[in-house]
Amino acid sequence: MATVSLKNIGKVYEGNVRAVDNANIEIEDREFVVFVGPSGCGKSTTLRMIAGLEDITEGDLYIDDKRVNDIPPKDRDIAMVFQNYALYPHMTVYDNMAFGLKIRKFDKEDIKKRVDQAAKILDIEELLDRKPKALSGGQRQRVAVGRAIVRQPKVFLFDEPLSNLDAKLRVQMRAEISSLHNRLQATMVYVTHDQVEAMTMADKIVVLKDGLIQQIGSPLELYNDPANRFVAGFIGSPPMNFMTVDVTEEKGKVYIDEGDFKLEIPKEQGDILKDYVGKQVVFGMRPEDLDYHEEEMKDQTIKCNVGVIEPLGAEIHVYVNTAKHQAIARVGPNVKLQVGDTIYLLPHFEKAVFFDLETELAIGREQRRQ
Amino acid sequence: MAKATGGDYLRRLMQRGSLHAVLILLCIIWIYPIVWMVSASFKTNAQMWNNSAGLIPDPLQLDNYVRAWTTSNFSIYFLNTVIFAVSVVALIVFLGSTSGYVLGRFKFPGKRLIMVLFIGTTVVPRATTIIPLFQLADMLGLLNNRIGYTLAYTSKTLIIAILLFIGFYIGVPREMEDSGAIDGCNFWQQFRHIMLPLAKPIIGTVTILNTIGAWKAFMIPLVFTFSRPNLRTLGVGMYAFVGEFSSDWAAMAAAASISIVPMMVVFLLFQRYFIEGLAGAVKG
Repeated sequence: MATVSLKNIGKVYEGNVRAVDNANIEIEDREFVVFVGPSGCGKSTTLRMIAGLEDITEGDLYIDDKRVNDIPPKDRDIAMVFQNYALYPHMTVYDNMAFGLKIRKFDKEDIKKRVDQAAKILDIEELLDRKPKALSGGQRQRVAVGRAIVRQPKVFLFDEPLSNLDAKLRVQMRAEISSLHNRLQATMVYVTHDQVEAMTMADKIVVLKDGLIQQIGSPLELYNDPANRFVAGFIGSPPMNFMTVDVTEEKGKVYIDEGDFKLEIPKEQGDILKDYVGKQVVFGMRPEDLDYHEEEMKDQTIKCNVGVIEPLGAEIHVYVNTAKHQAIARVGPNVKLQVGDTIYLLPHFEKAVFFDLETELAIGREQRRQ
Repeated sequence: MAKATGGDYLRRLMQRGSLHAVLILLCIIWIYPIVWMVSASFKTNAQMWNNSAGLIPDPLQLDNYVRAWTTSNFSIYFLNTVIFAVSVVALIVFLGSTSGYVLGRFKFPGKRLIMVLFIGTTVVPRATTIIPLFQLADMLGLLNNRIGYTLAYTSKTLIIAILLFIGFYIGVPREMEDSGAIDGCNFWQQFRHIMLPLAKPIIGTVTILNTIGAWKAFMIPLVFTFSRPNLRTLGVGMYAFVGEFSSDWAAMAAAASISIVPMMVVFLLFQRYFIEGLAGAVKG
C-alpha cells in the first residue's frame, strides 16, 4: 500500500476561480482519510487531483514518495469509486469489474480469479451476468467498489459514494466500506459532505471550506477541540450551539453576559478569557453538554423557553429560545416538557469552546490542550 | 379519491375509441400505397389497370419478379445499392461518432466556428450545391466511380449525424470518461470501448435514416454516373422500367417490392434504438 502527500496543492480554474488553496495533507499508509465539507469547498477537486483527473495548478503531489503531478491516472495505481457509480451500462457486472484488468492486458485466468474473489467479498456472485440497469442502487454501489478492489491498487479513492443511496442502505454500506478497509488494509481517501460518515469511518478527517483546509485531525479531536467556529458547527449532529456574549470581570471572577442571562465561568476557562474581558466572544456548547434543570441556579444556568420538542426515543432534542439566541439541548427520554415551558440549562464549562468574534478561531486551544 | 362513475367510464371509452379510429385511419392511409404496390407486383400490367382498386391478384403470377430481377440490370442496381448504402452508413457512423465525440466533449479553439458552419450548411438546399459538387468531383477524378457518389452523398447527410452524436455525447456523464481513464484507457480506447458502445441508440438512428436515404437516393447517383450506368443504384435504376412509349409498371412494382425488403430488415434490426436515439435518451 502507499502514502499520499499533498504539498501546497492549489487548483485555479479558468477565470481565476480558485477551488483549492495551499492544501497540505499527509496520508499515511493504510490510513482511512475523509475529506469533508459543504458543497463547493474543494473536497472533490482535491480528490480528483489525487486521481489525476484534474491538473494540479500549484504544489506537488506524491504517492509513495514519487511525484505524480504529471503522471496520467492510469499510471498512478489508484482506483476510484464515483458518486453515480459510473458503471459501463453496455457491459455485464463481470465485464465492468474485469475491464480495467483487460485494458492492462492481465491474463484471463488471473482476471477471472480476481473478479470472483472480489465478487465473493462483496456478495455479488449472483449478479455477475447482469447489466447495471438490472441492479438496485446498493448492488451498483457494490459493483463499483468491486471494480476498484480487483485492481488491487495502492490507493482507493471514493467520491461521495453513498450519497445516492437511501438512508438505511447508506448506514449499511458505510459499515461495509469500513470493514473492507480493515480487511484490505488499504490506503483510502473518501470524500463526503456528510459529517456522520466522516465521523464514523475516518481515521483522520480533513475539513474544508471555500478551498481552504480548516482542520485536520481524528474524529474526536475535531469534535472536542475544533480549530474554529466552522469546524465546531460542521462536525456534530445536532450542531454546536453558538451564542454571542460579553465577557466581564467582577471581583476577580470572569462572567459571560448574554443580556438575558449571565454565567460565571470556572477559573480554568476564565483564565483563557482574561484577554477578552470587555469584548464579545462566541460561546459554543454541544447540545449534550447542556443539562436540563427545572430550577434556576444563580449565575450558572441559562434561562430559556421550549420552542420545539423532538422525541427520538433514546433521547429528546429540545429547541429552546433565549432572548437573543436559539439553542438545542439533548435531554433524557423521560423528561416531561411542553412547548412554551420555561426551563434552565446548566452548561458543562469544561466542554465549552469560545471563539474570537472576528477571526472565529477557537480561543485558548493551546492552553486547553495542556 | 373520487370513484369513477359510469359516465366517466363511457366518456373515456369514447375518447379512446375515437383516438384509435383516427390512428387506424392514418395507418391505412400510410400502408395502403405499399399494399397496393405489393399487390400490383403480382398482377399483369393489364390486370393492374383493369382492376387497379382490387388488392387480391387473380390469377397470382410471379413473372414480374423474374422480369424485374433479370432484365433492366435490376440485380446489378440492387448490388450497387447495397454497396452504396453499407459504405455510406459505415462512413457516416465512423465520421459522425468520432467528430461528434470530439465536438461534444472537448473544448478547443475554433469549435464554435465549426459548429456554426456545420449548422449553417444544413439550411442550404442541396440542389444549389449540386453543380459545384459535381465540378469538385470532376476535378478530383471522382466522377463515374463508386467512391465519388459515396463521398458526395455522405457529405450531404454527415452533418445531421454529427449533430445527433454531439447532442448525445454532451449528455453522457463525465464520470464515464473518468472511470475509463482510471481503468487505464487511452483516448482511443475510451472512445472505442466506452463512448462508442454507449451511443448505440444514435448509431441505430443514423443507420436507419441513412440506409433509407441511400436506398432511395436519386440525384447524386444519377449525376455522378452519367457515363457509367452500370454503377447506378435502385433509385435511379427504377426508371429503366419507364420507357418512352410504354412502361412496365407491374415489373416496376415487383422491383420496388424487392427493394423495400432490405430496408425493412434494417429497420427491424435497429428500431429499438431508433426512438431512443431520436428522443436523445441514454444513460446507464
